[in-house]
Amino acid sequence: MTTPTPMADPSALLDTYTLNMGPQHPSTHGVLRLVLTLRGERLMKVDPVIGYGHRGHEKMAENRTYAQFLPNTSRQDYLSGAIYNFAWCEAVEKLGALAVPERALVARVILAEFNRIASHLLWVGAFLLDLGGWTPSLYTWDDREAILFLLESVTGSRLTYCTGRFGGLSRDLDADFPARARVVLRKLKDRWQEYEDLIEGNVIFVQRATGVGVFTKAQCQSYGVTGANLRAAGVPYDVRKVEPYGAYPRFQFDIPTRTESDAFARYWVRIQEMKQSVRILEQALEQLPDGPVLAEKGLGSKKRLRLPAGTLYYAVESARGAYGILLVSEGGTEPWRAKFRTPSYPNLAVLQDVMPGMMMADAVAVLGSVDIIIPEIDR
Amino acid sequence: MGLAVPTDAALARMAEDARPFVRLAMVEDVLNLCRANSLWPITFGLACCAIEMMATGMAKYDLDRFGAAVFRPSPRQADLMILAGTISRKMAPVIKTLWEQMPEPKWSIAMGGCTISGGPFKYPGEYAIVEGAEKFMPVDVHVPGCPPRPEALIAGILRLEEKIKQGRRFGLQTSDLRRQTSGSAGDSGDAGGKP
Amino acid sequence: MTTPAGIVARLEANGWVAAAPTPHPMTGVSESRWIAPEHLVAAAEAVKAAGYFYESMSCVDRLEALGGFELVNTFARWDAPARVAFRVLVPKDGAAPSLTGVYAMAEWNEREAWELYGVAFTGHPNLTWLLLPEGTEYRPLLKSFTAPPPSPYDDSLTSPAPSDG
Repeated sequence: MTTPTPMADPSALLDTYTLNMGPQHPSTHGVLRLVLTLRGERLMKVDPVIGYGHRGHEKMAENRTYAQFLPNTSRQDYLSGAIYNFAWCEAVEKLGALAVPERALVARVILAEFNRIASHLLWVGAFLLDLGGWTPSLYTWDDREAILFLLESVTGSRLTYCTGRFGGLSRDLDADFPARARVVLRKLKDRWQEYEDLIEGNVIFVQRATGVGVFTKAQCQSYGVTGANLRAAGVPYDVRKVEPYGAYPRFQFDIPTRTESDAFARYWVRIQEMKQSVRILEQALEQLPDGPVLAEKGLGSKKRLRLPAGTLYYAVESARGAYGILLVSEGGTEPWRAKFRTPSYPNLAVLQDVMPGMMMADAVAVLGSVDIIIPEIDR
Repeated sequence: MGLAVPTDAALARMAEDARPFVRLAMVEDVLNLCRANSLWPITFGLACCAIEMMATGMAKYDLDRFGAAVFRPSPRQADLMILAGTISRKMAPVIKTLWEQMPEPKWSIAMGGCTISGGPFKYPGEYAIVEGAEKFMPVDVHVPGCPPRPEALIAGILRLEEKIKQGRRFGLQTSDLRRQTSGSAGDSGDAGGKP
Repeated sequence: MTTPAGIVARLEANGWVAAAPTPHPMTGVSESRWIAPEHLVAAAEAVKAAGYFYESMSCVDRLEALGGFELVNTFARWDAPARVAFRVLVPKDGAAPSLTGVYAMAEWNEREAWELYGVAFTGHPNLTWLLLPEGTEYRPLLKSFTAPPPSPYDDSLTSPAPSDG
């Protein structure tokens, strides 16, 4: 394979053409527009145009009380809806020094880890769909349905959960929840080998994903890439381990990493992450303490919660990477400013550096392997 | 002098002769049946509702049973636009372009609260969204929810099929319930109530 | 040197730290300091050399209280729970230096601050709209912005007749 000739010669520009990919496109995972400058099949330049999913979350946060903003939180990244919902609750709890009962802390971990597995299962299906494989998506989405059924019994929603409250959860887990959860975990554990045979045994997938879309550590540092993309580049950074929050310090789990930093490495890391999440869930279901699940009923909704003035930066690990909330309070019932540092923002921006020089088909594979959600980029 | 009023026998003979032209309406019925049972949606997800739309096409809820899971990426090949997700002001002209690119006959389903009236993103002074798809394009069926369950989207698609065919797919359908509650004929002329 | 305390010591030694305009505590970080705008690039280079990654840049409207915008830059480490925040006060009609030369992600964060607040950045390669439609005149995240100007989407248009056939 020849490397592309550098663009020192202006007459080389005559061979390029501009192709618009999106905002309606099956492989852009939402309303993303990429303005591609191509020379034959090779990408010379990638210019992402975002904002087609901009819904004004940050302005809404300034016009809503802390409790009124709860529904917005899970709609930012709807595949990690529980994680984002709890992150908002935890940020408010931290700024307001509110207590959270033990059962709620562990229950939040359980719901968050199930959410993480569901998000990764969806991603595996969608990634393979991008590469042309229809079958794995049917299996992974079906397993995801089992998890959604479980989460629906607790939260009432399949996708955009709003069960977190300041000081715990809105409703408790049922008495038979641990048993039903263990059934789902057993079903998942039986599936890992099947996925490995189906996906990694497919030579087309292996060839399309290996060696494609390599991120260097310097790029990751310059852009702030986090999540499985960073772990596939060899950096074991996971907010749950580096800045533990909630009940995570009580559980033992590993951070899978790989050094190749290509699309296959990112896929492998996410599969291993799902297995680690299952490990956390088994421990959490074992250690689920009894007790109340909400510290003080009605806090934030009826009582018009006021937080002391201050600025807080709070970070959690979502399915896509490090999610951070900068919460600025001036002592009122509404935040003064809420800025959301979403992991897909740098994960997409780095592609401006990574994609040039690749073939068009590889570019689609890399875009799929990075696992971005456009509404959380656009907020 | 005027025209002679035809006798009953002459009228009967005329009706007999005209019958092949009356049968054209049945071709229209057959065409509508085909269109309703093979809706080709455009792959078009905007936000969260898109995930539930995709889940409806997957194994558990299986939109293929209704012939409606042939998602086409190109608007030229699609006849159904399921607006799934919030319509931002930047995206609205793009959606209008896509809608105009779709050839007739075409239908649209507004899925989710955002496409019906702005959803959870509507508040006094909002600047970023368009409060409902009907601000700039016609909508045939509205499916409420945030996001609507896959069953709700299937119900919306069946309602659209009713609208296209002017008749029911299964036995008791929503149009019957509407007749019972409101007593009016409804919007899609289901006075016939063909099985 | 790479610990947050070391970073702060270096900033103070070089005289890059500015006086805090308000006693506004910042939590969730190991160290946070107000930096004078002219020293921001040097401080960012020091932090990058120490191995911190670019986490976020947020703009806060402080026009009423402080007559300008507060920019909160956070940097964090991969290997230890360390987060450093540099807070910069940009006067209302002033400009902040762009960090695009140091951290590439700053390009998008600064574009966002410009389009949502109107903050100018000197040395930015491409200061144009990012999230809002091109040509948007208003700056929506300002506290003074309460409603957008009239648009074709305000009045409920009657739907065109549905297609026949």
